[in-house]
Amino acid sequence: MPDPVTGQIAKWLWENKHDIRKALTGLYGWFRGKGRRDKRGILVIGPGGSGKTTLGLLLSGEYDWLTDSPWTYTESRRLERYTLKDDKRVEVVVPPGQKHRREVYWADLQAEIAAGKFRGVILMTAYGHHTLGELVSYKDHPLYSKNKDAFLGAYLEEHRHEELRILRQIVPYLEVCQQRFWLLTLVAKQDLWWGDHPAVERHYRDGEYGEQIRKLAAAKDTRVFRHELVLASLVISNFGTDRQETLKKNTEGYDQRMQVESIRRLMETMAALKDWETGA
Amino acid sequence: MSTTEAEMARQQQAEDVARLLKEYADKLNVMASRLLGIPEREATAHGVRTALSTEVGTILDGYDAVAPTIESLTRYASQILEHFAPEKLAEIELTLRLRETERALDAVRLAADTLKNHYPAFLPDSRKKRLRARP
Repeated sequence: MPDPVTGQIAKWLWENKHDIRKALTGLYGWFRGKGRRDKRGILVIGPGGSGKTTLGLLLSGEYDWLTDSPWTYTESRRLERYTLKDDKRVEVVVPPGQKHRREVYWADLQAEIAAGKFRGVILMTAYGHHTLGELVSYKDHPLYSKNKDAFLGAYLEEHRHEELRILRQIVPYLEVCQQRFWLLTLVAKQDLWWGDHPAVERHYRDGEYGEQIRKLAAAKDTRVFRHELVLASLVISNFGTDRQETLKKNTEGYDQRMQVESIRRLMETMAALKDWETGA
Repeated sequence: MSTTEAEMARQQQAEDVARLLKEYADKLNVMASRLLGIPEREATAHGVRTALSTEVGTILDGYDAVAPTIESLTRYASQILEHFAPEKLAEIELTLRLRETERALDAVRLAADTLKNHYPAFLPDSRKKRLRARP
């Protein structure tokens, strides 16, 4: 007997597929710079394991979240660029996020942020749920001390701090940028933290993260700078290691329909940023 | 395992991985040098193209045999740096070894691409379309 929930999701997707495709196609055209004079690219920046590559693939149309299966995490070690063959001028640029790679790849990009080379910066976060890479067991982690739950709490807190460190690192470059640009904070992996979503929203809106953003916005003219916050889930997956260790299961009740809704909000926000760019 | 023992184990792990990376970076660099030296050797030794082509095939077979495992090792090294916070000197050594190994992996691919694009005659037929894609 078919699962009624899955059946409803499939029905909803089927009934809305034309609108979803149309919205995505419009966004892809925007990223590719069709019909636009502004050919500046979009930078996707954030810590390792936060989902930057997934977003890059999604934005460039290389990953279809309606039909493609989510894949396992593979650490990116190079600067990734997503473009179309017919227009290589507009790029989605995704540098690797590991701390030891940032000094190699981020210095030039930060200078490019300051010089206004990007029309927008997407800062990927995940409320600390940064995938623990391949081959590593959480039991070998320095934060582990015979208790998985205690480890998870400490790990998530440490990686939320890491998100803040990255924000603080790029804010000076955003502040000095004289060109018109937008900043989008994307809090991914909503399926993992959905049970705690009021705290997550507080963290990004009112906590230290939100405070940094408010300071940045206060230093900028609203005609040349805009910030948006989107909470979303690009894929639905448990939080674990490549050794089949599950650290946290995705929130009970967070289904594909909620994921689709979150992607819809992301698309609407991107569309609003597009309108803001063009002054519509 | 006590905290000190766990720290020592992680430290040893970082040193072991750095040593392995050095060993395989050296091997990869030799592979790249041999590949890039093939056209020059052909110019000074006429009539050995078939032998050189076989040598290219052997080098690339060797590369294919070890590259996935070396890539896995580089990701492990990266995770140690990202999560295990080794002692400063070990961290610097591991960072350097990791970068050298990643560059060496790229060097072999670049050498193979150079042969394919500029000296295709040196590639065995089975290799002309079958070069490992970048991860």
